[in-house]
Amino acid sequence: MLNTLLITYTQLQQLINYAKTSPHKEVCGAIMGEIRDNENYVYNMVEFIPITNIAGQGIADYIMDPNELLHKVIMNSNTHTNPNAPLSFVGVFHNHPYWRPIPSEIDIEGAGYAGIYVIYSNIYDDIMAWLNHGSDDPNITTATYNGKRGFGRAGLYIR
Amino acid sequence: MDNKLSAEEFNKKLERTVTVRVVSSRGHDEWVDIPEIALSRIQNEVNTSKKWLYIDGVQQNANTLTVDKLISAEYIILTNALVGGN
Repeated sequence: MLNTLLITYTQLQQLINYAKTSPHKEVCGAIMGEIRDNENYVYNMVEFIPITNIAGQGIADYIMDPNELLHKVIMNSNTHTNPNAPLSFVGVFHNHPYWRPIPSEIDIEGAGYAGIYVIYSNIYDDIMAWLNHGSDDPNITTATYNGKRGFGRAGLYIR
Repeated sequence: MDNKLSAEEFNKKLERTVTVRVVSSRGHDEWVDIPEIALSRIQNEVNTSKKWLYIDGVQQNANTLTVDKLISAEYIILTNALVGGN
């Protein structure tokens, strides 16, 4: 199994229902979980943490609230700042109200964290997952896959 | 006497350092530098790599950051941003 987020049916419904609460404006949040296979990018989703979208019109469609992201996610991720935390920051969820669940140029440019990016499309009622390999280099702040800028395909499997 | 105190203060100032934790997409690292250089490095990270700056857990505008603020900070973090959309 490669590049996969293992998710329960209830969690999947939670993500979709959260996106459906906002059909015209994007919503976003962090997926916290356990690393099942680090080399093959396989993760168990444990918890979804909604983060306030502070984007204004014309800037980007979502900007995670920086203070919420730091305190609810980064400081509680055992892969980022807190080795004693029980969970890892393993993915990001957001919706595309009017477009397919495919990463946009803004998604690639602003994907500052490695993991599985799950996108739900409100208009197509479709959900897809994408992998950002990320980098240990703090200067690389965009999505990367096999050393190149961009996302790779990922699986979203019900466990 | 006054000259001696000034020398002590000068030495203290030389010894002052700032520690910055830099969160990358997969982990974190730290660097230490004197406050004046740290200020420049932080502003460069924010303006060129689009990092988010936090002083004592609160996001700050790096362009209005001062050396005094850095010196009095308990902890300083730079993280990647997280934005997107379509």
